[in-house]
Amino acid sequence: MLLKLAWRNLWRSRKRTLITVSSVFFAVLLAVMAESVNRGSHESMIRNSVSYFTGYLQLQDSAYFEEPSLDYCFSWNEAEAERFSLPGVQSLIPRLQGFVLAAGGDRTRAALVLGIEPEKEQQLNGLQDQLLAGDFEPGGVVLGDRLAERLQLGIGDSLVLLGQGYQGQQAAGIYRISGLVKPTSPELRKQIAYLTLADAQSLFGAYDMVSSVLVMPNQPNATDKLQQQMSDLLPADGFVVVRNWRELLPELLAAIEFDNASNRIILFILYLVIGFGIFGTVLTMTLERRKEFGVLISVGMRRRRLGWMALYESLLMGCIGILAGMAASVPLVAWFYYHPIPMGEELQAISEEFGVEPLIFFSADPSIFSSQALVVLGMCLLVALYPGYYISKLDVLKASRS
Amino acid sequence: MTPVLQTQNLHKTYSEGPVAVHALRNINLEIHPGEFTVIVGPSGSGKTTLLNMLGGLDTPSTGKVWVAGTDISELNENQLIDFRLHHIGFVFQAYNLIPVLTAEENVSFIMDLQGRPAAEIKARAAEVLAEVGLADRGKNRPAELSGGQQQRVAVARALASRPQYVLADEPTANLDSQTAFNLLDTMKRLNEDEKMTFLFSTHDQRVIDRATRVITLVDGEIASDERR
Ligand SMILES: Nc1ncnc2c1ncn2[C@@H]1O[C@H](COP(=O)(O)OP(=O)(O)OP(=O)(O)O)[C@@H](O)[C@H]1O
Ligand SMILES: [Mg+2]
Repeated sequence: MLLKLAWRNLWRSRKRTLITVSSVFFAVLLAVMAESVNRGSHESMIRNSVSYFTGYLQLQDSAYFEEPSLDYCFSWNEAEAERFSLPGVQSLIPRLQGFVLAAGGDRTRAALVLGIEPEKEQQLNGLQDQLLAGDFEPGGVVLGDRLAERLQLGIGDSLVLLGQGYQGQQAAGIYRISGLVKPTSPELRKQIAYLTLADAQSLFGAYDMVSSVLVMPNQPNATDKLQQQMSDLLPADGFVVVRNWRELLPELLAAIEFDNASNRIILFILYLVIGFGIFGTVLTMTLERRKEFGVLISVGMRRRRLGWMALYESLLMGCIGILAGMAASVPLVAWFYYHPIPMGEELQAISEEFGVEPLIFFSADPSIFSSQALVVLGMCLLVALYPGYYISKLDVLKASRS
Repeated sequence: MTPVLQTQNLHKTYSEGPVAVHALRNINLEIHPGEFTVIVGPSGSGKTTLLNMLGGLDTPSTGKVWVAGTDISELNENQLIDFRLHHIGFVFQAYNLIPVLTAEENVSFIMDLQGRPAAEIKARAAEVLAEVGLADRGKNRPAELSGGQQQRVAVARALASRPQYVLADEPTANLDSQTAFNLLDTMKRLNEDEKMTFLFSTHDQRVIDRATRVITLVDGEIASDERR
């Protein structure tokens, strides 16, 4: 009966209720879309960073994170790879990296040597698609296009790599330039020199050793669980640890969190506005029924039940708005999730500069929807405190006579 | 016969203002089942105040009010609300129906709050609506009814749950004389057919003519109490 009363009371002033409900509707729609874009862009940033740089998880020596030196590499072989190929693991990508001087002709530049297994990288981040010319091959080096420009070298030229190897050994080798690559990261374009893993190992004298093994899980959501499982495989007193991307990319995480905070402020303002909208409606609905409330209490309705009725009224308004907002935003988000919006041309250039894909991504994480719904419901509960208070303090005699 | 309603040395003093107002002084009353009692008196004589005491809407400064054996001046707020729900019917001056409910739902409202079975409520609501001559208006909302019809719905609502008595403070004040006359007719008939006890205040001479008992208040005191 209370629910019936509440429902009918809402439609006493149809226009007013519709305005309130549609304000909730638009707020939910806006909030969901904003949050979806926000999370979508973060997801794509994470996806990019983990696939080029860190992996969702990474096996490394416990000291390597603090001091990424060749001295902290660890041994890795077929048997190890077998052991860590857990059911949740899509691929394990070993890398060995170190800084060297690259000399060709009369020019010398610092370069980052990355020893890789090209087919595995291809699966991970499509590295081979970034080749401008040539290919990865044993005995050959693939240079970032800008690095090659600076060295004034091209395919077929020889390049000397000089540096320090594992445990202070002398590292020196001469390689034929077998390809040029254009990674999305502008930094890499200026620095990278890819060798095959085996070539890098022999250059640095780190035979059967790697600096890190990137781990790609089947389900990125299950990363934390996988991290636990892999840690369990490692000897407790060993040097190798599993780090997740959050530890490996603290700057990215901080940037995302900052972004989230500013987004939350915008959402907060949005909700404040509609919160006051609902409050205004509930306020007028309460004040204009003073006499009615007085009569209802007079004839024997407890204040508490009357309070429930008022609560139902504000909850109903909120729920209709939320449901309508969800009904509209679910298909929209789903569409944009599968069809990211391409950025305009100018933005495209900028995004290339920063090494991100020139697309606006949307996230379809269900928690986006549920959190918006919860916020609006919470707000309705908060707003309903007012009529509850009003009813509990109402002077019945004065009210029913007014 | 035991009275349905009894007061003992009832006093009500309002002391909020600069001078204390003795709205009621030493009221001793017994109302018996089936009586059709009118309270008359000049404006400010305390009629509304007395009805509020008898309806458990306000508490006396001193004195007691017994309704069917219960001293309602002892009850706390929620007990009082429940007591009103189960034992007392109310008709107010005007516009005291719930605007979003139909006539039938308004009549059922008290019984709904009491938690009676739906079938019983439906049957009783239909019966009472017929008794007040609105059998065919059950599906209309108050706004679709005339003032007189609304008051008849209010009367039907007040007595549908068969309370001990029905209180009405100037129920005809907002009605024109012909409509007021009809409403009184209806109430009188219900008084006879349903043996419902009515107690109300009025300024209207024709109301007084139909009463079985007339209590006159002057300055908060009972000046006369005559049965006919
Ligand atoms: N809440 C109150 N505070 C102070 N004085 C009050 C209050 N309610 C009523 N009174 C006073 O009590 C006295 C009786 O008032 P009451 O309303 O009972 O008279 P009444 O007989 O119903 O008058 P009327 O015929 O005009 O309706 C009046 O003097 C009135 O001013
Ligand atoms: Mg009065």
